[in-house]
Amino acid sequence: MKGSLDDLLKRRIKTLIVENCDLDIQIEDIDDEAPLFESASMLELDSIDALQISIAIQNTFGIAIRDSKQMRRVMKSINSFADYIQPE
Amino acid sequence: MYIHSFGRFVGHPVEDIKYYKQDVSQYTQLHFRRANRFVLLSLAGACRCVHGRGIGKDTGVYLTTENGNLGDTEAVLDQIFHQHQFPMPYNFINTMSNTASFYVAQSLELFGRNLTLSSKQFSFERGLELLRSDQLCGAVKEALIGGVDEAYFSGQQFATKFERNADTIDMVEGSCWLLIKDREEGALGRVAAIETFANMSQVLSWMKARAFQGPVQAGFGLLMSAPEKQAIIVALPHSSPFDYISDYGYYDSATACGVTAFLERYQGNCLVHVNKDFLGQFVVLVIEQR
Amino acid sequence: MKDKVHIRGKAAHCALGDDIDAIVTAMREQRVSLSDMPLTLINMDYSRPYFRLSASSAGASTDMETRFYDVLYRVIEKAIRDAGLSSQETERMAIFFGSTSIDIPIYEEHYRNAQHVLSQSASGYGNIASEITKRFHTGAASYTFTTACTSSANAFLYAAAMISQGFIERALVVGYDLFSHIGFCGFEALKLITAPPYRPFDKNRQGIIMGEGCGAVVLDKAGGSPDDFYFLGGANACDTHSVTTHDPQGAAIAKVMRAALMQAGVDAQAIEAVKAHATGSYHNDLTECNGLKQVFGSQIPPVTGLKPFIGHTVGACGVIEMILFSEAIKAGFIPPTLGYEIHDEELAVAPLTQALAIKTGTFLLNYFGFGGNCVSLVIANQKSFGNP
Repeated sequence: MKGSLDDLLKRRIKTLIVENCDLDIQIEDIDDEAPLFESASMLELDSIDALQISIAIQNTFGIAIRDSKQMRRVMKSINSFADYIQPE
Repeated sequence: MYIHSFGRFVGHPVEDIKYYKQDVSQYTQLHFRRANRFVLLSLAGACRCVHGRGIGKDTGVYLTTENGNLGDTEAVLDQIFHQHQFPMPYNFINTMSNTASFYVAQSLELFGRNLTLSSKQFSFERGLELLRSDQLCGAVKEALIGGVDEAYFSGQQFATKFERNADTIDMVEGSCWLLIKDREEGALGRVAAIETFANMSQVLSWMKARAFQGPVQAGFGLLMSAPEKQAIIVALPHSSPFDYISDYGYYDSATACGVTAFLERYQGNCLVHVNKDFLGQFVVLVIEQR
Repeated sequence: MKDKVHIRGKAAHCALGDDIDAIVTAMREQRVSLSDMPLTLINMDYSRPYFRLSASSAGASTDMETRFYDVLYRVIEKAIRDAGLSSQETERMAIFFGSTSIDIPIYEEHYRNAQHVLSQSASGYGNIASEITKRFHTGAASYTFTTACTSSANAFLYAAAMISQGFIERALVVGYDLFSHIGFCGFEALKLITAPPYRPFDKNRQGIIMGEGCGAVVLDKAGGSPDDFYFLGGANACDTHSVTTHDPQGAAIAKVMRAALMQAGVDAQAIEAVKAHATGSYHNDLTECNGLKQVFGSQIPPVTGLKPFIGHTVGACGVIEMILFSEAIKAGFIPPTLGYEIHDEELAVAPLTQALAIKTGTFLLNYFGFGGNCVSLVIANQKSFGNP
């Protein structure tokens, strides 16, 4: 199943983001399509958070994001993130 | 170097880091998601020192510490050597000790000089020397200088380092700060001297040759022996011992705590603080209060 | 007038060697030696480049603690010898030490088989400076600067200021960072490390290559030889933009460069060349070039970065790069920025692509680091008149 269709996986990703970035937010409030990192994003995440999340993903799923360009592409939204971790 | 304000945050460590975040949020609006104990401790003292007063944007920040942050460094070593994983970026960034002086500057919006300095037992005194140098060359007019250290992890660690029983000492964490300006107007007092000596007889002859203003409180670093303290009390006319370590507890940059406690309690007096390190060197710090 | 502060003696051990003449020759011949460091400790199946210390009798020991102090003490001994200090002169020498890792490389070895070593036995950031005091019987004060990548640049700045003000007679300034897994894995976790080639200021720059090294200078009111460099001025300030990056507009960096020039009492036009911090990260180089443009306008003097020779030696780079830069000039040249090929319109600053022939002048050295720290230093040397 494509990651963006896998609710369980998306829940895991959201939990991982909230826990690793010490966010004061309910995971239910994170929209699957909303941008994670732009200034309009409700999470107010920045580049250091992106790095924190990328290492947490690597430690949890064993999936490496090697450079920052790829990181920006992958972490556009929860859906794009889920599709990267689980392409099909 | 005129002292215009002081702030003190000293106590037993609280395990839940939220306690510190709540404390600091009384003074500053910044989010401290990534801040660790050492950062929050630094902020708790620094924010108290400047609370309610306007300070210039070019104010310098001099954070002095003997140990800096140990918790995150240990966490990262554990991630690498035991979990065999990448260090987490938050932890890694916090291993750099100057993140604390950075967050103090960021939360108070200070763009002046920014330093993290260490010198074993003399960290706070040496920091004051650097600030004096910056004031003299005109690089800094106003500065925040603090002595910040976490509490000892265990009595065992303390006992090994100081070769003395930890039971007699209350081990606390501390973050004590002074706001220092080059301007006398409105000051509480001033740093009148910082002098280094190779041995006790040099200390004593320097004291005998110098006049001290008002009643003198004699404060001492942890490594000063009882006979050394006694000799100093004798050498200083009209002096009485000021045992701030008994009153507030010990942490590694406790000189800063002694100075803030003196400022709070002894208007019109003079503090002569004598500190000693493991190499047997002495540093005398003199603070005169109005 | 304030007194002049001379670099009376110096020594360094870095990837290019442990002898100043050999290091200068390697820079002239543009010889570099890059190692490959695997990340097996953290279960990664790839490796990253790193500039290891050159092979030397100092640092040959397999015991980490022995090796750590061997490298350090050898460099300091050579610097003291180079300065020609008598034992009485050494006695009244204050220690200014700058490092990011301090004694972490020693602790790391213990962590292979144990836990909680640091929290049980850490002896404080000031420990190495205190050990230097004991070993070399110096009776003066010691100061340890831990301001990330500007650590030893700050150590230099304060040592020079306190000598010129008469608080101390002379100082030993040391920058020292050995390889540490924390630093190496940490920079990789922040995705800051590039594969070769290392090419600061290049359009295709991809990041930093780290290195290890130790540098020591003896600063004194009295100069050694007539062509010795001396300190003119410097500044430090904090950019509160972010804990890891500076404001890309370069305002804070420009402010520090201007303050250093003012402190030195020289105009921007008087600067013959700039030693850039030039880490090769996208952000650092952009920020630094924007700052340079604000200070120098369209008249930017020749600029070079030295990290492609020795790597980014983090807290040690303040002293090490100062030695490499000033000794190359004494030998008649400023080396080009190795690896740089393709001009980046966004930076609009081209570093030296060929060695610049020069023997004397006034120079600006830039250092930036995590925690928003910025340091600029101005140093100069004069023609030795007996030497046409």
